Amino acid sequence: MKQSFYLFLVLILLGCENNIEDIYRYSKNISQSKDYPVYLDMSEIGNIQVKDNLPLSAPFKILSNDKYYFVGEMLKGIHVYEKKGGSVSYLCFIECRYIKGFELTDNKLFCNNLVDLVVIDVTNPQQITVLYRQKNQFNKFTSYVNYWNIPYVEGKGIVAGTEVHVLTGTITDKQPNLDFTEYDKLYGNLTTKVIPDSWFSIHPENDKPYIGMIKMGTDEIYTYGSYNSWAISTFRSGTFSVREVDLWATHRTYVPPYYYSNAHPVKMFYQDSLIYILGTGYGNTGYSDCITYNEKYPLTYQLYFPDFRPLDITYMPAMKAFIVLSGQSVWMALKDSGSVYMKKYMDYKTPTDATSIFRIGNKVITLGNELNVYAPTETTLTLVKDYPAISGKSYLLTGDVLAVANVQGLFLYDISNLENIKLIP
Amino acid sequence: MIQMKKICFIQLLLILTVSIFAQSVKEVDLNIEKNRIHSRFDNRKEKGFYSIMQFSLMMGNSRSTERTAYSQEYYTTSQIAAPIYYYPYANTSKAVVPSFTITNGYRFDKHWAAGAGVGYEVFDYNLFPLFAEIRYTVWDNKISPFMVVKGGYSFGNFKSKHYDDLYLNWSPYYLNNAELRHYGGLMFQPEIGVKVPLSENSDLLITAAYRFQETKTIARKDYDAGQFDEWEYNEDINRLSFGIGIMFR
Repeated sequence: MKQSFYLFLVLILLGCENNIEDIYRYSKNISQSKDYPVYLDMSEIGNIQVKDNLPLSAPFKILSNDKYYFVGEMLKGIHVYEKKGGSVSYLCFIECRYIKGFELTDNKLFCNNLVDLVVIDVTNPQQITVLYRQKNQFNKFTSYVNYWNIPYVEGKGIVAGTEVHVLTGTITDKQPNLDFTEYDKLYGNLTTKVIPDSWFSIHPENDKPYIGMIKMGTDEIYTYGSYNSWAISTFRSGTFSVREVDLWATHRTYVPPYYYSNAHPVKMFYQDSLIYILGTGYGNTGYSDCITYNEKYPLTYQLYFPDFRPLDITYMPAMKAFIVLSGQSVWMALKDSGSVYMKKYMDYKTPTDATSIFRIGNKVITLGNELNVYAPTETTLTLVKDYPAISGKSYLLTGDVLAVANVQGLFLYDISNLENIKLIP
Repeated sequence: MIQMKKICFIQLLLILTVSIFAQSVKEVDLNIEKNRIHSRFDNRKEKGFYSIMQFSLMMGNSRSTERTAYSQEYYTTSQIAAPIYYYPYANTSKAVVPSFTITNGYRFDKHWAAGAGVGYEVFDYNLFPLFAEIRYTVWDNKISPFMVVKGGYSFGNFKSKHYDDLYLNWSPYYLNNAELRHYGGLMFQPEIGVKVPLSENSDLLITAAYRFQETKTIARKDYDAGQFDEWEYNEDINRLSFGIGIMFR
C-alpha cells in the first residue's frame, strides 16, 4: 500500500512538467544586398544583316551549294563566295554574331545566333531573309547537364550578369527582411547589349553555348537535344519544326549522342556515314564518339584520350582504324572487332600542328600551316608529299575539288592526283 | 542564492507554525470515544471574518542549466592561460518551492466563505501572488474536509534590473550588459484539505493542491539608434502543493 502511494506520488510529480516557449525579438539596422540579373538585349546581336566585306580571320567550316561557298567565321558570321566557272569570287558577308555552327539545306542556312537557331534564306545571299528564329534552341540542356546552359529566364532572356544593390534599413522579428520593392521596380529589368568578355576564350569552340550541327538526308538538321537525344529541325513549306529523338524512339537511324557529365562536346561533323562528336573532359582529357548508322541497336565507337583533346578525326576502313590529330602528333586507334572500345592506341610520333585531317582513298591528308599527304599502316605513318604553300583552318572536299579557307581567303585545289595537288585559278 | 533564500524561508515558517500550535494547545478540547479522536466546538459563530496564514511547499520539475567548463587543449610555451569555454545545456530536475500566503475573507454561513489574499513565493525568482478564493467546508465545528479554489495574478519585478553578466536557464544562456525583468502571470490553484478545529477561534488546515502559474521573463539588450535584442521566456509552471495553515475566525 505504501509502495503504491509512493509510486502514485512519483508519477504525479513527473507529470508536473512545465510548458516552455521561447520568443526572440529584435530590431536592427542592417544593410542587405540583392543581386539583380542583367538580361541580354538581343536587338543588336539578333540583327542578321549583309555586309560587303569582312576580313577572313577564323574560318571554322565550309559548305557549298550549286552557286556559292559559305565559309563560317567564328563568332562573326558567314562569308559568301560565288562560284564562277571553276573558281570563286568574294560576294558578301552575312553577319550573324556568335555563330559557332551552321548547316545548309539547298538555299536555306541553319545557324546559331548565340543560343538561338536561325533559318536564313540565302537564295540571293546579298538579300537574305530570316525565315525563322527558334529562341534558346541551343540552351535547353536538362538532367545532369543543366550546367551546360547559359543562365536563362523564360520570357526575359539570357542572364549576362548581375548588379548588386545594397539597401540599408531596420529589420525586426516581424519583418526580418528589408523591403526591396522599390529596388525591384528600379532594377528588376536591367538589360545590356554587351556579352561579358569572359564568356568566350581564345578557343570559343570550347565555350558555351555548345553547338553541334549536321545535315542528315536532304533537309534534316541534327543538333544536340535536351539530354542524350537529337533535336531534329526542318523547315518545310514555310513551317519550322523541331522534334526530339532519344534512344527509345521507334524510328531512329543514328544513336543519340551520350552526354558525359564530366565532359562536354566541342565539335560535331558527319563523314563517311559516321557522326563524329569530339569533346573535352577535365584537365587535358578528350574523347571522340563515332556514331554509326544502325537501326537495330545502338552502336557508337568510343575513343578516350587521357592526355590530349582531339582536334580532328577520320576513319580508315581498310585498316579498321581511326586516325586522330592531337595538336602535336598523329594517333591511331585500332578498332576491336567485338567491342565498341578500341583495341589499341598508338602515337605515330609524327610531329604536326595540323588542325584538320581527312581521308582520300587510302591516304590521309592533314591540313594546317601546310598540307601533308600520308600513307598510314598499323605501325607507321609515311609522308608521301607535303605542300608548304597550302595552308588552311578549314576545308571542304567535293569530288576532286578541295576548298581551303585561310586568312587570305578561299582557295580551290584540284586533288585528283595527291602527288600533284594544283591550285585552281 | 535562491536555494539559500528558500532554506531560510522554510526554516522561518516552520518556526512560526510550531509557535502557532504552541499558543493554541490550551484551547484544544479532545474527546476520546471508542478509540477515535475528533475535535468539536458547539458554540462557534457561523458567520464572520476569517484570516488564514498558510505555508506550502510546491513540488515539481524545474529547468536548470549546466555549464561545463571546457579548456581548449593545446600546447604552448607561453604563460598565457588557455581560454575556457562554457557549453551550456538545459535540463530538468526536481524542485521544491516554498510559499507563504495570508488570506482574509468572510464566512457567509457554516459552509461557504470567500476572501482575498497575498503571498510570497520563491520560485527561481520571487513572485508575489494576489488572489481571490472561494471556500467550501463540509462541517464547521468538527474535523472536516474542505475545498478551495484560488485564482489571481502573481507579480514579479516592477522594473528591469541591469546585469553586467547575466546567466540564464534558457537561450541565449548568457548575456553581458543586459536587462532582466520577471513579469509573473496568472495563477490558479484548486485545493483540498482537512480542517481540524483547535479552539473556538482557530482551525488547523492541512492542504493538498494543484498549482498552475504562468510566468514571463524578458532579457533585453539595448544598442544605439533604437536597436535591441530581446529574449522572452514563457513558462507555464505546474506544481503539486502540500501545505499547512491556521485559520483565525
